[in-house]
Amino acid sequence: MRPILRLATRLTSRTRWTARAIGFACAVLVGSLVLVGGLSGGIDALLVRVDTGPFAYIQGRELLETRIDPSVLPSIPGDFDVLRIHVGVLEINGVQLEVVVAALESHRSGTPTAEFPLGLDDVSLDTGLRAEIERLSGSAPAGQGDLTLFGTTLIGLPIVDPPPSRMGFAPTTWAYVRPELLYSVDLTEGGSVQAILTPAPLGSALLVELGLEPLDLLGAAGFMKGGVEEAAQALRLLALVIAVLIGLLVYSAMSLEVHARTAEIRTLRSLGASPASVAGIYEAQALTLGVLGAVVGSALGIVLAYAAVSFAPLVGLPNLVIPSPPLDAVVVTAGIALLAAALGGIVPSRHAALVVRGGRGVGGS
Amino acid sequence: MPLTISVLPPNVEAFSLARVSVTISDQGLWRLDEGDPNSYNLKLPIFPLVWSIVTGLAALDPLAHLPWALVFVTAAVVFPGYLLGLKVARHRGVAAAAALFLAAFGSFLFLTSGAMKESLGLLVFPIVVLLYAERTDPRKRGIAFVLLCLLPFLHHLVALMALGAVSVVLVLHDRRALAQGRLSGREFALDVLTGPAAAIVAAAYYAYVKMFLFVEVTGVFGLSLLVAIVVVLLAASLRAVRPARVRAGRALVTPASVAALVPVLAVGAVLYNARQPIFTGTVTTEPALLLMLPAFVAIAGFGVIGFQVLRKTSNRGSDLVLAMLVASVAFILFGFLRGLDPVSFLVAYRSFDFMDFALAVLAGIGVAVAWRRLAGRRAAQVAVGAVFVAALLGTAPMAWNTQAVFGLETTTTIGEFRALEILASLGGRVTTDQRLAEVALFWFEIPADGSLPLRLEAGEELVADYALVLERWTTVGASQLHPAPNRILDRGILDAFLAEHTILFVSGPPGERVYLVRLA
Amino acid sequence: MLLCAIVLGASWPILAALPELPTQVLTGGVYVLTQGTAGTNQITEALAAALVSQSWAEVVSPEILAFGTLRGEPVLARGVEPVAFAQVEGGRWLPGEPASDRWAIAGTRLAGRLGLVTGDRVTLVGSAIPRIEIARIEGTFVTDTSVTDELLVDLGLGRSLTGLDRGVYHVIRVRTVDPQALLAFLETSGASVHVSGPGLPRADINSGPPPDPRVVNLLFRSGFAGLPPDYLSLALPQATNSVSVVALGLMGFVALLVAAGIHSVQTRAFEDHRANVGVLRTLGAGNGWIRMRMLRESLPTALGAAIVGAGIGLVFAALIARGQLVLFGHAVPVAIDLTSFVLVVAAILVSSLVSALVLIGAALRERSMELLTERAEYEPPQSLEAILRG
Repeated sequence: MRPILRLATRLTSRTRWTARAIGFACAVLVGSLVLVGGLSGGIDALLVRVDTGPFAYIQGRELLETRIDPSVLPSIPGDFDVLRIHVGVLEINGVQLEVVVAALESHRSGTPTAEFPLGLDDVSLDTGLRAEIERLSGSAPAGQGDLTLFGTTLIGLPIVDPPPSRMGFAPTTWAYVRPELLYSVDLTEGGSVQAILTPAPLGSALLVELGLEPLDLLGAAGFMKGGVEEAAQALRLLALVIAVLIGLLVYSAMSLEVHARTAEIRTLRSLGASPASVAGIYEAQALTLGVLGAVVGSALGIVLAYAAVSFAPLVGLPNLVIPSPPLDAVVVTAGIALLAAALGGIVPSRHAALVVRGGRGVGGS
Repeated sequence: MPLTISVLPPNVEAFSLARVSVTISDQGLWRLDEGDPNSYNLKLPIFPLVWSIVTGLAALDPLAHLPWALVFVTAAVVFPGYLLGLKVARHRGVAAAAALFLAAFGSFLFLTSGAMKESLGLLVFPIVVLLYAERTDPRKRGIAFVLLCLLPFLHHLVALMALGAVSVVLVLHDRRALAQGRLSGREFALDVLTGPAAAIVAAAYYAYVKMFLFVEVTGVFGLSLLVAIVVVLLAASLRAVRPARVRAGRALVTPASVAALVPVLAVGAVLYNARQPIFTGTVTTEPALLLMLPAFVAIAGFGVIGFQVLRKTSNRGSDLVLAMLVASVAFILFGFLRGLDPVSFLVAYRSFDFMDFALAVLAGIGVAVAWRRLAGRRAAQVAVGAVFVAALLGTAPMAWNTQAVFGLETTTTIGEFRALEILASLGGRVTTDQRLAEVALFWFEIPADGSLPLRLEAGEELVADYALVLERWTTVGASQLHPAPNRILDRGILDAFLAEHTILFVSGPPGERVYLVRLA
Repeated sequence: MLLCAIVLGASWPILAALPELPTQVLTGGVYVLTQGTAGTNQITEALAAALVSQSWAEVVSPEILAFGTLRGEPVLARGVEPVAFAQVEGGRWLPGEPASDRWAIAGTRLAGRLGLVTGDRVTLVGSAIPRIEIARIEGTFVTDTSVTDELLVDLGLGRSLTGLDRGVYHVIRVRTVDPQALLAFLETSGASVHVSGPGLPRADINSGPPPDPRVVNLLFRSGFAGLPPDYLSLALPQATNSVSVVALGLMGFVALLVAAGIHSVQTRAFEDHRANVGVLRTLGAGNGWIRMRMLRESLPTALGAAIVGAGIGLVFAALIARGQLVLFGHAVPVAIDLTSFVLVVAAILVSSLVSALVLIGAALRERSMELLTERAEYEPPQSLEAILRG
């Protein structure tokens, strides 16, 4: 074993060139992956310092289409609020208009309470909605109105004052009812929850268990995160192309390397080395060069990526790319390089092992 | 040694160290206290411990005599520099030139007058590397290991540099041994355990005391970058295991364009920075620094010659030069690549001066080679020597005129000190600029706000009982939190402020007046 | 070399298009006025009305930009005046111009991507303030500009999403053939604005230059200070810069890979011909002649590989782009045209020729005998002491 290792780790000027080629290819791939990974890292690092208001969770991607079963609410830790929201039709003062109907329920220490409106049948119109009704009808909203929800019309509902307080993100054009009103119209549709609002983020495990997705109430934050993720996906695809190319480069470099050593191989065989030993030497050398190239190349790629990010502001591109610890990139790159080097060494080294001692042989130098 | 002898220590850090040494002397023990205003220097106790012992034994004043102590310490740095030159080149001329470089190079002088703990560290650093290079002698190995274990308690950057340098020495030596088939696993393990493994002591201690900058360097983000830089530099420096092969008939190891690349880039950057700051939050190059560029170019020329000669000769001592270069370049690169924020600049600019030992040897070799080549032409030889000396002296203003060269003022005057003494006796909250606020906190233990110039400019209400104001804020500017440049205050604002409040104390000549003002 | 050309052709057009997107979204080929540094709320209804009355202003479109998400995707909701907007974009409303006070209309490509149809109700979120609004899709807007990826809403909804006061906008877009008249007018109006547009370097009217983005970047990255109050307007350009940095970085990596790949292939090929250079030199050939010969011999191969490879690569790029490459909610306008083809071919050719010159230059610096015998002669190593002592 020791002689094989000694021969395998011997570096000549040509093997150094091969190792450099592998290293360079690895540098490009690691650098690309580090840059792409840094996109998301930078935005996340910024957004954690931004106060985005309460954390809202829905199911799927659309608030109105969310149907969270109320029976899961007890599994949510701490205090939170629950929002039920639907679109209905309000008929009042002789005009008909589409309105957003919301019911807000606070859960404190596991006890749900709705603070407004007070009456079970009351409909509280917010200030903006009142102004709209007045503009359309020419008079202040009447004391009663008809509300159509889930295809059912409720006649003569008391119209009451605007809510005493409003969630910060709610516009002034909503109508508010008690959750019981929604249940009474349709237990399934009216009972389901459209959004859960918490003061602190929920754990990812709970989100997965309940099938919840965060809804960014501060759209610019979501816009940035989403936009950067779009870019990252496209660039990951490019990195994949680079990875394939690198695999091919490493494979060809190793193949050429072994082919060029045919004379040496003949010498070893004529000295009595077995085919297995010869194959072992060159396969071990292929792996050695792959490891060396991957290690140095990965390091170079990390340095180049950090350099690009660090010096970009000097050329007018201040940016939020914060490269994250490149473990994934290094592991992926090393894996590709080693696999390609091993494959690149296997075929020629098996060929080499079959080289007959003396002049004739398979392949030539 | 510093070219100016200040009555008071020439930097703010000295006040903190002096206070810690006084505390140690008074209490008779060293104790970590996170709530102490000088907690940072309490965590690096070697300097204050040594100073408290010296002041106790010699009955010295811990503050007033500190500048003199610094003079002796930094003057002693030339001796390991001489030894380094002798070890590398085995030539007394090279050694003498290297020692002269360290004695007179302005950047080195500036550091040794501006940083107390690092000055002591710069004395220990080359000694550690020299001892480790001769570790075949078990006594030297033992001393080197002890010093490596103690360095983390002196200064973190010096400790990292020393660990880096001995690691490079080890790698180069063992790579050579591997190529020659004489690498022994046992020897390798021993070298690692008595050298780089001392990093475990440093890491454990710094993690325990939550040392400033430690998290920055060893957090996952920083560590991955640092490891990557180290791997790349080591791979590049492994070529130095053998002398470079020079084609017959050629004089240079590398093409002249490549050899001169780094100095040309550096000069270009300094010149460009004179027009507009390259890095955010920094100042343009001061005219006084531009005047010194020819001196730097001359010194760089000697260094390039020395490097070329060193690379093409068989010479084991070159490992020492390379080790010191690689260690400092690694941290400079780390500083620049981690994001160009204030912490990055702190790491980068403090690392530059650790290259001075290697540069000293290279310049010394360059001078010696030039001297040798001009053998028989005495006038030319004298000219070479004169150019070298003149170039070194040409960089000296960096040490004694920091205001003109860097736009920084680090010296505390007697008038400022007296005003602070009065404030300490009065008690109450104080507002002033950053430098004086630090002196007030470190030595007098007065909590002080260092943003007075900013608040005066913005017309904000001042929440303090007293203000310490300097007239020079209207000319050279008020110091701000590093690395922000000095902030020049409008004369009218200052005059209006002084007119509105009661002045309790004035000192200094016109233009340099110090005012202690009551606000409440 | 062929492989390198394919990679270059497939990647560069896409990467080069990424950084151009934000400018296209904001200006859309006309002149755009944005808030200057002096005072706040400079882009006003009064300014828009004054611009409309100018004879040189063909169309004036005041707009509100609300960056948000729609069904989990990043979407720009643009608050507009329907008539002016359709004119400036050269598009049309389907089934017709919105008539109600409250409306939302999807660009056709956005509608296709998110499966939006007329009558759908969608949830919009606030841009710079937390907000939820429910809007009904009234139709689609047909255009061939980047607006086809956006959601168009009435100005009232735009204000609700952004928290802008009444009578204030984010931008005013102006179509005019006389930009100098526009600038002159703005100077006299007293409004503090930045103006940019086709063929016009950014003009700061009654305003200083925009704040140094590098300083802001330091605050964002270092966390040493709190975020400035207008962080979102500053963070968005930084986010797009981030994409530019990564795209340019990848372009650089691809370029390095391509150049290194070409050089290593040519190096290996040149190894077999080094002796020939020695023969030619011995026979009296000049260095210039040898260089030209080298270039002439390598040019056809490089050209052939570059043309074929670039063609294949651009086809790949077109396929990727057609698969809807989307960034910040907008399709990336990848330019697959003759210019792209020529640039890729030129890049390959230049890499190949530079590599050839480097190789031949290194060979010409050697002695002829070294080339002929393929054995380099080196100076024997000396010790440093020997050199120093003479």
